[in-house]
Amino acid sequence: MASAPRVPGASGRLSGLVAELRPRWKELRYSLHLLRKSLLAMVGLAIVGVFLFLAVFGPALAPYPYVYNASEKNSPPGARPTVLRNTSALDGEAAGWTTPASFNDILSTSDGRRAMSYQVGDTLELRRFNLKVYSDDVLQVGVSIQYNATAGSTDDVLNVSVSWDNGTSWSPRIVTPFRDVNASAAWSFLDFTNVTRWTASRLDDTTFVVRIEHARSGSPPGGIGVDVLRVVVRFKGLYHILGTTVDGEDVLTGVLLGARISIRIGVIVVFVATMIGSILGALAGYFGGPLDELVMRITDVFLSIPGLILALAVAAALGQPGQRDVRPDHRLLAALHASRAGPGALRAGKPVHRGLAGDRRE
Amino acid sequence: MRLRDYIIRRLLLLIPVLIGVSVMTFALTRLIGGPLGAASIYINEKCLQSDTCIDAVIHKYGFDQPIPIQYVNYMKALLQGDLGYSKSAKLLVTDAITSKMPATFELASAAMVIAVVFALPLGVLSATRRNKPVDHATRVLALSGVSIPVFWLGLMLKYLLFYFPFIYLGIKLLPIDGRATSGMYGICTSRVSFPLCASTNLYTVDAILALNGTALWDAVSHLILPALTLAFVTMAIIVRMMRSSMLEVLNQEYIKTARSKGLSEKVVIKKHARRNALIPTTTVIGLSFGGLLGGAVLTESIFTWPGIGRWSADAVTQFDPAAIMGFTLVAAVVYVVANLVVDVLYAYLDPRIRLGE
Repeated sequence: MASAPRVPGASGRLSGLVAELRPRWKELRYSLHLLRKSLLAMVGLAIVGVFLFLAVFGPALAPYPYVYNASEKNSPPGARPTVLRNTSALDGEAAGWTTPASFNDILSTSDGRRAMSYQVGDTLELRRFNLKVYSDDVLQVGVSIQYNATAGSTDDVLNVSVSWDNGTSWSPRIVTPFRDVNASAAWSFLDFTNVTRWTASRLDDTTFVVRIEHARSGSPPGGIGVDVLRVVVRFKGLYHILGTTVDGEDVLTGVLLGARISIRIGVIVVFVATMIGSILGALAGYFGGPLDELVMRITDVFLSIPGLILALAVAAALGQPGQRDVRPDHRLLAALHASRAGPGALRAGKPVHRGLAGDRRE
Repeated sequence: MRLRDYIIRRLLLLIPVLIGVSVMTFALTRLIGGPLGAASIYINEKCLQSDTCIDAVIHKYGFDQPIPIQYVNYMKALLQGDLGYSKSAKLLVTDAITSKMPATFELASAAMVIAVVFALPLGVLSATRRNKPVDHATRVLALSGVSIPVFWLGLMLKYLLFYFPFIYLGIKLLPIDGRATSGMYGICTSRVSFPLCASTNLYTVDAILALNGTALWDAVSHLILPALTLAFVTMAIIVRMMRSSMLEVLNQEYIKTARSKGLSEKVVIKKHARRNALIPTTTVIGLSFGGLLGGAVLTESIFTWPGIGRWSADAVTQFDPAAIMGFTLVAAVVYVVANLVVDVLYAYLDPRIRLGE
């Protein structure tokens, strides 16, 4: 009851406010009506809407995570880059062959350390090539091999075959032509592309096996050593609508994720600039005189500093080795932009308040 | 009399603006570069190995003092015309500015002339033939000029007008780097002479003064691509401004009056509409020119144009504090003077505006 006497007064003030707002509301409705009628404005609004949508739902829409994928770098837009894998085995089983301690160490480089066999019929099965094939569009599967035999017994022959289901079915054996390791073209490339329909699942660590057999011994019989054995796979990588960068990042993903940062900066900048600019502009316009002069000179200071240079300076200095290793974060960038945008809002705000103050100088 | 006072007053107001700019830039370079950044031009490779040597150099040149005291020392030197040494230009900052400003001025003027010559008629045409094919074409052109990133345009022009004809047709159409063929231009002395002697440091002007056709073509051909790149962007801004102010003027009562007086459409457009539409456009032209004079960083970098813009980009990436201070001050002066010129022109074009009241 104590508050009862104040109610009529408050409602009176409220109705006064409503009455004052009514013509403005009418004008706003008319402006919105004009905006709706304008095709150009609607198209512009739609474009802004699409950008906002992309920015907000960017991570969900992005086709791939924004990660470095060195094998897909420099892809042109609308293409699937060809990815090349060239790896040696991490694991294997030796029957008759001198078992290497680590297959990868011995068979990955041409360093004289090799797997040796002295008997016809010895087999060596190699697995876990860590090929990381992620597409079923396989262009080529082959085995690159370099072997040599004891001096003089040049008739030693190796047979190589591959399996795509962990040893259940095998490709036809390919006879490896002997080449002297010391000759210039000591490598043999055995092509297994057409032995089956290759898919990613037929090339993973649990299914793909390479088998080497000591098929024939020369005369006099001697040892046979495999120096290097590597599997070479070429396949079509992922589809990149806008291509990839030099570091192999998907450009579309970068754009979608980058839009979020830009919009965040934009919102902060406009908000901060409008707050500071309109308040300063109102004060300068209302009081005029020395305050006006001071504010306008400060405005000139901010507008005189080249923005691009200022941003570059901060970015370069913050990223300098030996200095604090800080990347310029969004708030700092936003502050820089706001220092540039603020004067604009100020100049826009000032005449309005000048009009309110009855000052007709401009 | 009043105009002169106004100009003097505005030029005096330049002083507080310059002090403000220098305080801000000085604080920024000192704060983010630290004493080591400021002292780096005095420290050589060998000295960089030992901390005691670095500290000794920092102490010797006073970079360990509080920043306000360093600022006062900097301003004392500045008033004696000493802006320090720029390690990126390998010159004193004052020498760097005087040697690079003509290049930037030449490029900015050429770009501005091209832009204005094309933009004003296009803007008028677009407004008088509103919603006709000419208007649509002009608007698309203007919109693309505003939207296309300037570095992309520069690279495409380089590709289309240099790389493509050179690779596929075997002709060197236009040069893409620098201001002149090396050895073409230089300071002539009694012992050394160049085909074109430096006097104003504006190559085209020097070539015309020397009546040297080969040198003139050399300078102009180097100027074409960067000037076109800058001109396209500037032109787009001016066309849009000219079109919109022309449309506004054409809606005014006095245009109706002029038409009802029986004046021909040509006179109405030329004498009544275009002149008045030029007033706001002048502001845009003046401010754009001021912006270009402050250094077109991207264009100058792409075409290796030895102007203020490229130097500032170099200075910033190599963290060269004296140079950053130097060209920021130059940019501030250019900005304020451009504003002043625009204001004076504005009052001249529109007698209703009284300056300094």
